[in-house]
Amino acid sequence: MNINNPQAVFVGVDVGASRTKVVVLDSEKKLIGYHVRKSGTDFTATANKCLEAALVMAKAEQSDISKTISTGYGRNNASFADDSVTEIGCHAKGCFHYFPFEITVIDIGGQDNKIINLEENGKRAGFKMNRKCAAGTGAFLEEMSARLDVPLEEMDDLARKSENMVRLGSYCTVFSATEVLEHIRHGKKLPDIIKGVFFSVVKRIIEMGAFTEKVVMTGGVVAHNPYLVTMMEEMTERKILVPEYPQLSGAIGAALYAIEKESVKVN
Amino acid sequence: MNSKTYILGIDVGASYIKASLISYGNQPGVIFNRTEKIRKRNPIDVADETINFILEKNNLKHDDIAYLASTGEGEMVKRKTGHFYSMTTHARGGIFLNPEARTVVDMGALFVRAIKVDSKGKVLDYKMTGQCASGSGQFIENISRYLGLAVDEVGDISLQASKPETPSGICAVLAETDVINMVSRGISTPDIIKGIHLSIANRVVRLLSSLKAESPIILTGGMAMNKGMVQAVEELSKESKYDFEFCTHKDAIYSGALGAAIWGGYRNVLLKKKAEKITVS
Repeated sequence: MNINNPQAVFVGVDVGASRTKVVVLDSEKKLIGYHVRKSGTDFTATANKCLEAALVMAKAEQSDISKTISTGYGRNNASFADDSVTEIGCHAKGCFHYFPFEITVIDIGGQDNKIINLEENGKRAGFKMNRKCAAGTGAFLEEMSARLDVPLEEMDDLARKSENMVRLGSYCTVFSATEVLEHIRHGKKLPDIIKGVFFSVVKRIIEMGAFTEKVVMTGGVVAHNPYLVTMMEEMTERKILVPEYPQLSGAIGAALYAIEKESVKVN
Repeated sequence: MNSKTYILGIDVGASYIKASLISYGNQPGVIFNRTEKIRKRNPIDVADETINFILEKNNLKHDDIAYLASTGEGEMVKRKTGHFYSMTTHARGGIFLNPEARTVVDMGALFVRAIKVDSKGKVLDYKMTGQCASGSGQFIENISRYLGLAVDEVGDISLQASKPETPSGICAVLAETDVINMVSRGISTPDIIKGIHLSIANRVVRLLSSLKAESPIILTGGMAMNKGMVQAVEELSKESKYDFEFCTHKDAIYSGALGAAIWGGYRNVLLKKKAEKITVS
């Protein structure tokens, strides 16, 4: 298969520490299929299952795949990928594709946060990444949801109902979990505590570094908790852009790299 | 009438309450020690019950206690005579357990603190891990719960490790994911546990080096009761080419309570002298 085949598709795989994302793009860079699944313990098997499901959605066959690029924490576990590109590269590309001007990309992932500054031509001006600490990441929210016994998917709605936010004093996720339980014991309302948890996430990100005028937020955490974007807008006093599929940014970036690499080869 | 001066020290921690009954004099002597896990109970009630338990076991009434000294989070302990700041009580308790020690390390549920002391237990300098659980006993508790083990047994299990597998980061939360991965990769439980011990020990050794700790160093607190933890600290320190010399004590978990009791005894003598002066004049 090559790029001249009208049926040719390009696959991007983002094997995250928490979720695996697979996207299928056609040669016009249009998203025609995707699938997201918990990464679990067997990254290779999960990536294969995601690929199958995404291909079904795209109405494409394995043989239509022109090129596959993998990225993410477990990028070497996607055995069907032809090559891999770093997460920073893929997230930058995936966002710049939709917002082609000077931007700051904030990606809140399951286990790490990235802040990438892009120039108006899409060139990376700098990036920051937090990989040593769960504070401000999806893992933080997961831990809090477990401690509060509130399903992750209900956190966003509850946070919006808060009238009197509880401020958390702890930085560390482990200590925050203890603190949160203490607030419950002292009769604080659940929505107020959850908003405090969200506030802590936003604060950790703002502490990471300076942003450009236009900010794009991506990642699974943003996809499932859009209230975080609203809070970030309030705190940074600027409109924040969010792509249609925030969780797929990295995978889309990887697929875009696949298209780029393939066309270089053809030319 | 009993001729002994009984002093009770009570150290309210984040996870355990530790209490020591001592007889005070030129050579303070330990009479009775007791630890009680707080679990989800109110620490004030647990402290109160612990005090009652000790009194009962030793056939004492509350009035027989000359001074009830609290430390740690013990400011709210009922019936206490006075409260002492943790840094000074741990320093004093460490020196009591080993008079040679020049650095006392308290390895607790929430953080580790390293205290440089002189021969009288005076605090010269200190450093502690603050905002992060990567060096805390809580970390071990979480992981052992994950693996379905009791906290008391993980230390011994870690001693059986042959090829320890350390987590990729230092974060106590992210390490849980690492541990799940290790389990699915078939890494043996002792190797996983040892890796976690080494990860915590790494924080302890770094803390000691930034404090420029002086040997001998006595390891105290709940985590010092864990043989695997002590061994991990010793190993890492040797590997990092520090010439730290470590020791511990079977009563290491009581260093705060003992320190509080000794300070309480000292304060009691001063109070008595004051009272005598007033009656004389």
